[in-house]
Formats: sequence, structure tokens, C-alpha cells
Amino acid sequence: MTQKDKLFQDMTWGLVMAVFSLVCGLAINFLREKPLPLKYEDKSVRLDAAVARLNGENLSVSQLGKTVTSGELEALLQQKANVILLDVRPDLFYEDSHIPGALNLSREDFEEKYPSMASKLIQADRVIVYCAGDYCEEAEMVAEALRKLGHKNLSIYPGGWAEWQRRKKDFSPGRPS
Amino acid sequence: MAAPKERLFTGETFMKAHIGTWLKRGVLAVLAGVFIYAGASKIIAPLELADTIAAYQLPLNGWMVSVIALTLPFLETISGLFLFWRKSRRAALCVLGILSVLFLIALGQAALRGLVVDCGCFGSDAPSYDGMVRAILRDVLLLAAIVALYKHELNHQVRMDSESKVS
Repeated sequence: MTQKDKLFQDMTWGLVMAVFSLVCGLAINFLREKPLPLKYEDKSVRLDAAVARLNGENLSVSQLGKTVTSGELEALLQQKANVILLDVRPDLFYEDSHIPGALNLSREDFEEKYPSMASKLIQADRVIVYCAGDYCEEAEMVAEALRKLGHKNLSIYPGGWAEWQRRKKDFSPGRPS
Repeated sequence: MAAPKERLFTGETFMKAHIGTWLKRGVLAVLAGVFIYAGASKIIAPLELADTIAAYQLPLNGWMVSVIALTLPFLETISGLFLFWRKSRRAALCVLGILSVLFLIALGQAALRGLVVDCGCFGSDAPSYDGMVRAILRDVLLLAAIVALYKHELNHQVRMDSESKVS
């Protein structure tokens, strides 16, 4: 058997491994509580669909505002103003660590978590949304979704968790009680 | 008269042989560890992986993104595990080599187009340009190790085949 034949044989076995991996992936996905749809939809499409469903349930109340710097955020937190801080990263990251007092409303769990949070968000003077960092688009997407649901006084903290960490702020492990 | 070949097995060649064997085992263990960890960390969150794949803005439709997101974590984990068995090692190295090349192409085209993406190597993380550079360097190193090991395994097999023919 030449080296070329051996390479061909290895590629064939590699293909068998790939097919086996796909079968494993499909089987495990089938057993998941929230399976990945076989036809993937972009995250903005998924969030729009969730907003449309929530709007259909008359949960709506109404302007995407400005951005907040780390200094402003720190001052707001120190004043203990009626501000709600929304961490829109996936809950695993939120549970690991987050800005003190922040609530978790990830894009993926938006439809599920929003109804229980709606009244708190309406009562707040200001809602500040943040995600992982500078290049993260989740905060804008969730803020836009909240705006579509009628929420006012929305702001984005563009630096997000990365900037907050850089400023060596305290972090609070676990969910707020 | 020259001494028979086996008598020339000096302390130096013994050391070289041992260093080579341990170096190979070390590289194999690192490769296996990296790919098993990379695969396992993606298995738990397929939707996040699909989002990461979509962020590369490759010409893939929704079906293809889902198939890749469901297959890739298991393929990495299985290939990583198969590195420990000699019989399956070459095929596993072949798969990992192809995956590394495809990943380099995907990351390279994203960098050339000015996209800042999360590499998605070990689960989801914040996208960053530094992270992309680190991922490319890491992938080049892994690819070099994979190619070197594959060539070594192939040569070893050819040598074994020729020895078995002679005997």
C-alpha cells in the first residue's frame, strides 16, 4: 500500500467519523430541552420573533436612548438611583459573575424571562443594558427589543462586562436574591 | 571491520530515541487534550456555537450552520480521543488537520474582511481582535504538530509494512 493509498484510507475513516459525529450530534440534540433547530435562524430573526409573540400578548408599554460610560454607571450605582441594570449575556456567564445588582435577560431567554421582569422594568427610571464588551451586539439587540415593547429610558453601557472588569470593580457571584 | 548496526546503539542514540518517543507522547497528549476540551465545551451550547459560526459570515445557509454546529463538537471530541489509539490515530490526525485548515481559512477571511468575531474555539466568548490573532497563532501551531505527527505515523507504518514483508 503506497502512502497515497494510506492517505485515502485515512480520509475515508475520517469521513466515517464525521458521519458518526453528525449522528451523535442529532441524537443528543433531539434529547435536549431546547434543541437547536435543524434550520438555523439568525439571532436578530429569533429575537424579532420573540418580540412579535410578546407584543401579541399585549405586554407592551415606549425610545432607545443614549449610552452610559463606566463613570456614569458607577455614579448611578452609588446614588442607588431607581435604575435597572440588565446583563444580556447567556445565563452561564451571568451566574459566573456580573456587575453588582444586575439582572439577567439574555437574548436567548428573552421570551421566557421578559414577562416576569416587565413590571420592574416599567417602574424603573432608567434601564441600562450591557453585554460582554465592545464588539458585542447583544446589548443593542435587546435594547431594541425592549424599545419595540414600549420601554422608555433605555441606555446601553457599550463597554460592557469587559470594561467593567478592566476597571477592577467588585463583582458579585451568583444571582441577586 | 565495521561493527554490526545494533552494536552502535550507544547511550546517545538511546537518549535520542527516548526523547523522541516522549516528545511525541507529549505532543499527542497536548493535541488530544486541546481537542477533547474544545469539543466538549461546545457540546453543551449548540445554539451559541451556531451563532458563532454565523458571525463568520461564510456562504452557508441555515441547514449547513446547524449541521456544522451539531457535528463539529463531537468530531473534535471523538478525534481527540482516537489520538490515543495507534490504529485510529492517522484518521484522527487527518480529520483534525482538515478541521484546522478550514478553521484557518474561516478566521483568515473574517480578519481580511475586517470582521471581529469570537473564534468559538472553546465555547462562546466575547469577540475580540486579539482573540482572533491568538486563535490563528494557536491553530498554526496545532496544524504544524498535526502534520508532523501524521508524517511520523505514516513513515512508521510504511517501515512496519516493509519489515513485515522482509520477514
